[in-house]
Amino acid sequence: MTMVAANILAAALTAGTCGVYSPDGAKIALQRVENGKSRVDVWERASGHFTWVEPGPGNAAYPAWSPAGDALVYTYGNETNTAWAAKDGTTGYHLRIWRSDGRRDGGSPCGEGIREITTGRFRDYMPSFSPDGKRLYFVSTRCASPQVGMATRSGIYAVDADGGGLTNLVPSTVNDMGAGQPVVSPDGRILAFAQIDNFRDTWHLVCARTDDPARSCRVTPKGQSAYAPRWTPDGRHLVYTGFSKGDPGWCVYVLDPRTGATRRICEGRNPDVHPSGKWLLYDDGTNLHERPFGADDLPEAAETAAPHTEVETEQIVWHVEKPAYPATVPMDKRFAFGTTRTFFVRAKVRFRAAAEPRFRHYVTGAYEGAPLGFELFVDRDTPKFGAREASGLYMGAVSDRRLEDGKEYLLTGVRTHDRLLVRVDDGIPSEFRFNGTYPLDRPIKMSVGPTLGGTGEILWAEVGTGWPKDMPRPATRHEIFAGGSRSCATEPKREVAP
Amino acid sequence: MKQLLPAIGAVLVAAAAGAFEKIAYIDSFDYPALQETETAEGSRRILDNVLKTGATTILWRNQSGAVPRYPSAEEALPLKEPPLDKRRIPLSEPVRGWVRFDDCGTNLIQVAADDCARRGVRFGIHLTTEENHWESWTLSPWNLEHPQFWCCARGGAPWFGRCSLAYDAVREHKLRLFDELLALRPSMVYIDLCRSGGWAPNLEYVKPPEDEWRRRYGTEPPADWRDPRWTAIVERYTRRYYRELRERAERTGRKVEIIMAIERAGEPHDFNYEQRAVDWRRLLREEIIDGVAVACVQPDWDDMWGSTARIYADIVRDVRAAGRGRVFFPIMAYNFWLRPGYPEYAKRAKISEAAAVRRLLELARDAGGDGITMEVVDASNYSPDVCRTIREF
Repeated sequence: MTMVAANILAAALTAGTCGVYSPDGAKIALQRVENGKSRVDVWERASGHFTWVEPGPGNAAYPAWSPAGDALVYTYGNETNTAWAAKDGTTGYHLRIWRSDGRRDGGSPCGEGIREITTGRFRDYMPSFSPDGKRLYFVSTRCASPQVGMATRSGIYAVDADGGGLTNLVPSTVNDMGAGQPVVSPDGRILAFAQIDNFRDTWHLVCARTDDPARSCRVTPKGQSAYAPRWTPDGRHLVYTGFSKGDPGWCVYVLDPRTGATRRICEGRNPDVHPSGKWLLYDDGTNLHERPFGADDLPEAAETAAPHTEVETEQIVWHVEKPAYPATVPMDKRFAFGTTRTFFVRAKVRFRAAAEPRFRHYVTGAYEGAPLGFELFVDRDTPKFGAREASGLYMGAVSDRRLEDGKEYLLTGVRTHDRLLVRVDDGIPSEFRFNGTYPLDRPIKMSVGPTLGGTGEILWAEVGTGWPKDMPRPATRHEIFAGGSRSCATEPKREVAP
Repeated sequence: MKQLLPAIGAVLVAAAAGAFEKIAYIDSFDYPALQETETAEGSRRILDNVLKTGATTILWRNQSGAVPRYPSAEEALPLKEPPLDKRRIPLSEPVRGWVRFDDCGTNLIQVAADDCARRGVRFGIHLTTEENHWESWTLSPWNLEHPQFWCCARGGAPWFGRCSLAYDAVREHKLRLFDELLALRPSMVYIDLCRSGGWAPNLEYVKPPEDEWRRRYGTEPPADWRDPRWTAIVERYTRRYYRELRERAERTGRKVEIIMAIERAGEPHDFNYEQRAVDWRRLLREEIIDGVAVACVQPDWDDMWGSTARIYADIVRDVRAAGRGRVFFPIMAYNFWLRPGYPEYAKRAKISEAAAVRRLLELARDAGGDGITMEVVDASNYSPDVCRTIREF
């Protein structure tokens, strides 16, 4: 449910973007552009004094305060060469911590009070502190190995504030899949971040438990573009940048992640809520603005948990051992999956690499209006599970695994109400999320066998409804938020500026 | 010397008319892992490589995705480079992610234009239809700033970062970008309908065409975007855009030949109309474009040479029926399922690639074609034998 509040355009506070309140509310860390470079400043509101945090010649961005307010983490990179000149020596973007007391940690070469936390030829960016100040959550391109080749993907990582204990929390398994702005709820239980799953997707917000971060649940409405989440101080809501059809541009939204209820606040982006909970900071791409924030801005309570997130358990509707193929199998009403029913296709295959053809179907389902209503196949040694958009166009999930000649694999393709998944053996499934699918209402026949002249062997194959019992289920909103997410009682009291 | 270059270009245009023209596209983004590309010298080395094909016209790609490859005032928003924009996923590969053709201190397309004039070849712009390569690091900064103009699927799901031409503000933005390209004094603009970012009538469920549908038919827009009445409405917006491109080109006072590259000739349905809402025959009739380049064909592989010849003849007939226009046929090293290139012909005919290219050149000439287009000549995809065959034809 989306509620629209009055659009109040607040006067500009100062030039800058991506502003964040310090824990005591007395300072704002922000980004500014100067001479074409991004810099990070700290603005003391009472005195109007600006402190230039990062004196280096490169770009500094995405400041985030430590819980105690004595440090800022941000990303810094200085890429000065052309691609060719830099191919062996460029360093990428890394996390840095600046201590407001100027304390030098470990003899850092970065400058007064600054310490570089991560290294390597990666882009580490959009960091935030854990509520206890011990860990840093951030986004990185580390998930694309050199073997992947040209890739556009980013995952979520965590590292100790002293640089140790680097962990990949949310992998990005396929191209055009990315994550952004990880922020942990004040009680430390819930990780919220932005995610985009493929080139046809749009950024949306997801939440996961911090003890199981790879199992997330979408929390923003379908069709809405959403990024840059931040928790309200009480941990009950997220403010974020969003766009829904009909909006005048990027807008600041408030979300109750437990119910999915949202409210649009005003035009703007990159919001943050004052520690008192009474003010909202945001920007217009150039200047920072501030406006009052209160109960009237919060979305109405609504039970809008996605109706299809609870899926039935596995029921096999068809199974065959060592099929003679190519074979045609008539499909009856058990194969009528419509647009929302979860079903899967599973096949144990012995893969045979071949130069031709590139496409090898293992199991396909023909429906009225969709001759390839579903298809489990291999394309250039890569398993895929495809279906059709509502318009009839192809869509599919692509594994990041390449199959090797002569080896046996268990391939599983799943379609739910909002996504396709493909999985090789017990690996991490690759996903493709969609906004609508062709109704598989009138089944005709299934084709079994490595078609199109392909080689290989199907040892067994099956089709079932419900969620495959050997795959981890997608997290539900209920699972993630059971027990709530509120400020923990042991969290230290902070001085909050008026 | 600089003043002489346009004059030389005009002579070349005149010389090209009537000759069998060999057009090569250059995507300099195919080179950064192999050599320096962000300097004038590097740009010249790319041109050296491409001229080995005997190309008489060079088309330089104007953008990576939708990020211009020259210093663009229209797309001059700061910090568009990943990871400084939260809405982009950076390219993960260490080297190529650093390529910045737009702010490397040199206008590389201007360098290419000047070098083409010096070396006696025509210079043109390879204008991709919209966002290309579909990856978020290539999205236009302007588009990211204007979600209110994004394309939408039916039901309102936005097509992230891709704007609809149905909005006046978007068209005006695109025309300003086109003016920047015209300032480079190209003698040809080659509109590529393949590299479109998935732009299609199924993503045009936005206010202007939706309102037009309601006015005309009194109902909500159709659930099936393939409804011919819907395509016809969307086509009006694309045609208006291309007409305005033509008007901008005419306003320069120079001859700028506009060629449209059409996709998948030989298929029973016109992919260009159904998937791009572009009626190229009408654009020819209305003198909005000056010719077509067949980017790829779908031959009947049981009679590949004969069916290719028939497809070519059909296209030439359609172009001549429009009363005007030049026609170019493909010599394409890339080989995709729906876009077979000469390697596919060679493989199926069990002949060398050079022999297949020779045969395709002859088909293009015998059909009455005005020349060929070589899709994306990168560092090594056109072999020395193939280059020699094209050069000597």
